[in-house]
Amino acid sequence: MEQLPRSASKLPPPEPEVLLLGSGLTKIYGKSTLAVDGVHLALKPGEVLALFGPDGAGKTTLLQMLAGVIKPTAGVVTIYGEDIRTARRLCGYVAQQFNLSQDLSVKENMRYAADLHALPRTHFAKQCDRLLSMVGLERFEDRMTAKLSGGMKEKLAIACAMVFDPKLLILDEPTTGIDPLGRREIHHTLVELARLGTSVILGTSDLDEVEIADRIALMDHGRLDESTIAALLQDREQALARKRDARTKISTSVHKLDPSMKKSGEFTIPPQVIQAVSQQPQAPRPLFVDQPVPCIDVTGVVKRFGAFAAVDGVTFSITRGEIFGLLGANGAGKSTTIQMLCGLQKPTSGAVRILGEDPRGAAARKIRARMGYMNQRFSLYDGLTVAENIDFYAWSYGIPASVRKTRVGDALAKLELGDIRNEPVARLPRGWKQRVAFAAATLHSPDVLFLDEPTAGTDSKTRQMLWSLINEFAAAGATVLVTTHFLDEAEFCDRLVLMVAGRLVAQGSPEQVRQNCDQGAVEFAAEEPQEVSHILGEHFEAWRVGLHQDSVRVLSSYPAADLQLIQRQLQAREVEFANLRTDVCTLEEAFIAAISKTRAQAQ
Amino acid sequence: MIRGMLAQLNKDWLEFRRDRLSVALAFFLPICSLFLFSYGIRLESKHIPTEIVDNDGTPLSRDFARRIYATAAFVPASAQQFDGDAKDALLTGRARAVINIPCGFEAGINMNRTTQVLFTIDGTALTEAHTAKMIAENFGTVFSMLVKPPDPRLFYLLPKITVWFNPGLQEALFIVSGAFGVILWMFPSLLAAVSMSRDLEHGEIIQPFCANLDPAAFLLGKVGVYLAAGIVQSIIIMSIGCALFGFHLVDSPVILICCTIVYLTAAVLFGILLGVLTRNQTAAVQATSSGGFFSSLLLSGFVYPLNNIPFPFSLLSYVVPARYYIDVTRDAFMRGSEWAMVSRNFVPLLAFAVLLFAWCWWLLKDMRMKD
Amino acid sequence: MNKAINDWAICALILKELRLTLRNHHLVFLLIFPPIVQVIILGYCLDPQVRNVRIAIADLSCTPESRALVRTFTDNRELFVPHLVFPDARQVASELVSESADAVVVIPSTFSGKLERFHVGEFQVLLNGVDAFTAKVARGYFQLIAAHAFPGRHTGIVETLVRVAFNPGLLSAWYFVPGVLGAAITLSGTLVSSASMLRERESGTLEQLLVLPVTSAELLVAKMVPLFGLLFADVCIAIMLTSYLFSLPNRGSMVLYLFFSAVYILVTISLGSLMATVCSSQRQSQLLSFFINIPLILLSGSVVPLESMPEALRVLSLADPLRYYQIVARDILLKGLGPHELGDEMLCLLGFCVGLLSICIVRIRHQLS
Repeated sequence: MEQLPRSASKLPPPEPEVLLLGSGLTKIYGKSTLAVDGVHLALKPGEVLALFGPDGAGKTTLLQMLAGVIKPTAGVVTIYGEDIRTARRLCGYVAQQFNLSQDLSVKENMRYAADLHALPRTHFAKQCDRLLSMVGLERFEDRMTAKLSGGMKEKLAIACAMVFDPKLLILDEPTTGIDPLGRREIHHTLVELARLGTSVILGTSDLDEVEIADRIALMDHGRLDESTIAALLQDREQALARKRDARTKISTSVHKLDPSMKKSGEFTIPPQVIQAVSQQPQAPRPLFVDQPVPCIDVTGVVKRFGAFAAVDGVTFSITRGEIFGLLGANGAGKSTTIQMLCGLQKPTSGAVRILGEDPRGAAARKIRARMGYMNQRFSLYDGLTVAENIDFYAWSYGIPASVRKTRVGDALAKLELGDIRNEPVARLPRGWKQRVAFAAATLHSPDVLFLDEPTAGTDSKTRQMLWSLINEFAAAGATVLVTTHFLDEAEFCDRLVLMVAGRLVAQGSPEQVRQNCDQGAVEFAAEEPQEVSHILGEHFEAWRVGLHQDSVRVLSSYPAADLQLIQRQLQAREVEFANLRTDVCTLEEAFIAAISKTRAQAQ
Repeated sequence: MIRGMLAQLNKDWLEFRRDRLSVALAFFLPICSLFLFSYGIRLESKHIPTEIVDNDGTPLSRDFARRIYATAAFVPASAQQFDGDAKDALLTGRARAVINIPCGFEAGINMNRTTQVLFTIDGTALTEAHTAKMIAENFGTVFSMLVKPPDPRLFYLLPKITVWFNPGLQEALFIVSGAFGVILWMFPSLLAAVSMSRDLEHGEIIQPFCANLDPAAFLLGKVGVYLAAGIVQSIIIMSIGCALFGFHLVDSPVILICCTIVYLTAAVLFGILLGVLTRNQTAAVQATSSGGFFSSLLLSGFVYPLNNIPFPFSLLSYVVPARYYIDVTRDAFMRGSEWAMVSRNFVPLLAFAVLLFAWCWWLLKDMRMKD
Repeated sequence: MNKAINDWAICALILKELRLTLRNHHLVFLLIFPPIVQVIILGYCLDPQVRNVRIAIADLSCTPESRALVRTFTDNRELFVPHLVFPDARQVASELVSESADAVVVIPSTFSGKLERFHVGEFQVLLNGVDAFTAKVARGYFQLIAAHAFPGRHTGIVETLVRVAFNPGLLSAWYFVPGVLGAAITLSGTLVSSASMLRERESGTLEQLLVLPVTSAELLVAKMVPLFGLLFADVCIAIMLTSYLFSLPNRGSMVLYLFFSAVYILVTISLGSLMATVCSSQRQSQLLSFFINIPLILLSGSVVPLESMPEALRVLSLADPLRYYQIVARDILLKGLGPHELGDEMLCLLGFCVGLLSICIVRIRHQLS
């Protein structure tokens, strides 16, 4: 019987030093929609709790109840014994949509938040400077909030929530839609805040994000469960392994599992194992020699909106049967690029060719009939049922009535949607919606498939299902262009590009991108990663330090030299560590390095 | 609490100032509307195209025709002489009134016989028809007085009619002062509705919620900005209106100022209320614009008299605040205002403002999100 | 295309739109209910007639003749609402100032004397001139009453016989209903069609639609079908109700009236869709449609008369499709005119319809830029 990781142990018995206590929290919307079901939660000062669960699990509702923003149907929330209704002033809340005023500058938003909490004027000036430098926005005091990037907005939201020194910070999906570099910076901020004594609760559907937390709680169908996180992590590894098999990759691992990782009585799945599996040479895939013309051709494409260049000179080419990854943060120009490829936007200059034709030219309709597109917002009609949505797309794509019914039935079966075929789409959780949207986009067997973040916010089962279908598609000869934030998925692409601020900063197969990165990594295991990150922060930039469950990785241009430096520092501070070594950087780290290099060049 | 109110006021002020759409809404569009209403809305018709069929052809009949055209109301419909049927002219819309002077007009008058002249008026052009009918009915008497001075043995009544408050019977005064009321309701309420619903839709309202801000402070902060904008609007459009049409305040402006402030507050609170009730910008704009437009333009006595509205619809006009305010502006610019009389308008306006504030406060009192 | 009809993509689009619209009860309500309610309420409430004039009478003479004069006013229930009869002139004047009376009649103490001696009965009328139009008409009535007070005595040698054609009772509902129906349809039609288009854009389904192998015309037509259906149902219901409530006549071809109502509905829907393609957010489009609707309705002549506007504004109204619709509607229903007489207006309406639809079809694909 595997034992659970120490950090995911059961709820400790209530101690006198309990900051937040939520008991019996239930929320029912309308007459019958049960969003949260009898949740008990306790939090100590300085603790970081991650609330993990897919979209629709009830995370947002629970977080809103904890922040006192909505009224629970049943149950009570207290902070230091005081009911949340009045104790809200001790709590800072950052919602999914930032709730900052877009027309105010950074400093004005801080001031508004401070004035609302009646912070003394003199105190405000100091707080403002301190917090803005902590989040890295000190040079942007007078910039309008609307002009900040997604990551900067989130950081500002955190700063505003912290301006009055709350005891507790609650964040709902803080890094959704933010590039890996921004994500890392926010994680560092949160860890630092926790170290300084603020408790943090963060809701997320990103498995990587939970690694910065002290405790992890799983939320599913409105119920909270702290025990199965290990099973989830294990699930993920198995899923990844299955995918490898499906694409006939060599399954022998290059790096052997380190025996010291398997401590007696405990079982952890180090992320390094996952990375190790992925660092394997790719098996050659059958190429389609009968199609000499590349399927998708982008040459020097530029798209300007007024003076702003959303896409600034992008060139790449995709051949038939490839799975191509388009990676980059929000605002990097990915969606605009896909829109130009689909013919929805006209490039300001440059050329786009799909199957040899201009998607906006004379043959546009013919090309559209051979294309499939799945939007970021997965564009389904809320007022129609699942079957009606799929039938609509099937019909519109010209599938004759005689075969339509069978084709729709087949698609429903394949994506396991048969049970909910008559459910209105509006009521489905996100994962199901994505499956329906995928079915709708692929029903007419397109030759070219564009998928814009198909797996954002879904649970692992849906993710598995969608990726195996994508692989099937590619194997049958379709060309797939996928955008994603998840770098573990990026591993499944044949080739990928990374876009930053409208330009390509890296191109090639995942292996090539990793090799082309000029950084290496220094890695070691540690018991209190948060403490270590603070120490390392004195020598390394925040973006170089990556925190994981029980280990720390530091990106470095000179790994060997930095290994010595880190060893000295850790020994000097008497921090326990183990297994200090250098390593090749992962895909995520390669991207983080590329993004920060681009940012440095821009400034 | 004051601090919170000022914080909210400052935030709303900055947002308002920086949103070009709001600024256009606040100043440019009200001025355009003022021009549109002031020049476009008139009930009285001049230049009613008229055909005169002179079957007599005598000097007296020609004199009659000439005098018809000499009134400000009737003008010749077309250059050429017309011989067709009256109904035909009206059907084709060539003329709105056809006058048939019968054969033997002059002869009859000379023989002291009462002669009838037929006026056929197009009833589909309502206000023209009213004007034409009124003038036509009196014209006989007027013409008779000129042609045959009355027999001194006969009795007759002589009404001496004096017009008060608007001796020149300028319709512009009536319309423009009404336009003030309509504009000062529609635009402030629209601005406030957009702002409030945007706060709710974008989640910006979570900040005051989390800070436990007093709902009254929140409301007052919001009201403050849009009330100030409304006051500036009112100064601008009243100055322009007065300058263009040459009228001015009859009495002291104190009453007008007080009522304007209360009215604007009610308008802003109305917008905030709709923003809170609808919770999204689209519905808020829809509700404010159709509700405000419909009621303040058509049910407030702005154009058509209120006392013609049958029961039970007449009750509707009592809940239209614009009705009371338009009364105040007409008092201020035409009749002269006195506090004793103003109570019948000031009190309802104040009641509206207070009621709307209470309703908004009640909806927000929890300072939490609604389901 | 030798495909069967149920293979046509446009049928899929229409079916989808119908399902979405009819399932959205809020929308159906918003489309059907307000126009009908507006037409009925405004049919009752808009009335420029001068009636129910509140008069206060001061009879300072108190002779049989003066009392007879007073009775002419008090007996005339159609025109006047007799307020009070006061013995004192000053009180009466304050009635006017305090807005309790619209007109004040003062019969001086010398009334009977003058009538005896000079055969002239002089009395004073003070009129509230604030509402200039009403005051002018009221003034005319007083003169008329004075002229006919002693029947047969002094109407004069020339009598005018006034006949009102097409609307003998001068019923304001007959005048307003056809126009207000057009105005109500404009408000609902533009608002809902622009909201529908923008909702597609903001929810992301527009991108999916534009990627389908269908033409822009097919997309637009499918979008318009359910809205058109509901608004047309509106017109039919409204006409039936107003014929019953106001006895609105129909002297022309109902088919022609319904045809042009349908054309106008298409105009408003295209206008709304066009506004949606120009705006970048729901808020902007709602505000834009509001600000276009006000001049559209005001300058059309549906609620305020076109004939009384200054030349410049009348010229501007030539660009207003509602103007043509309300002329056509009124002339068909009240005058029984047909295409021969209304040819120009009908052509203009058709022109607006075709023009706006074409622009929409082109713009629909350029929305995302």
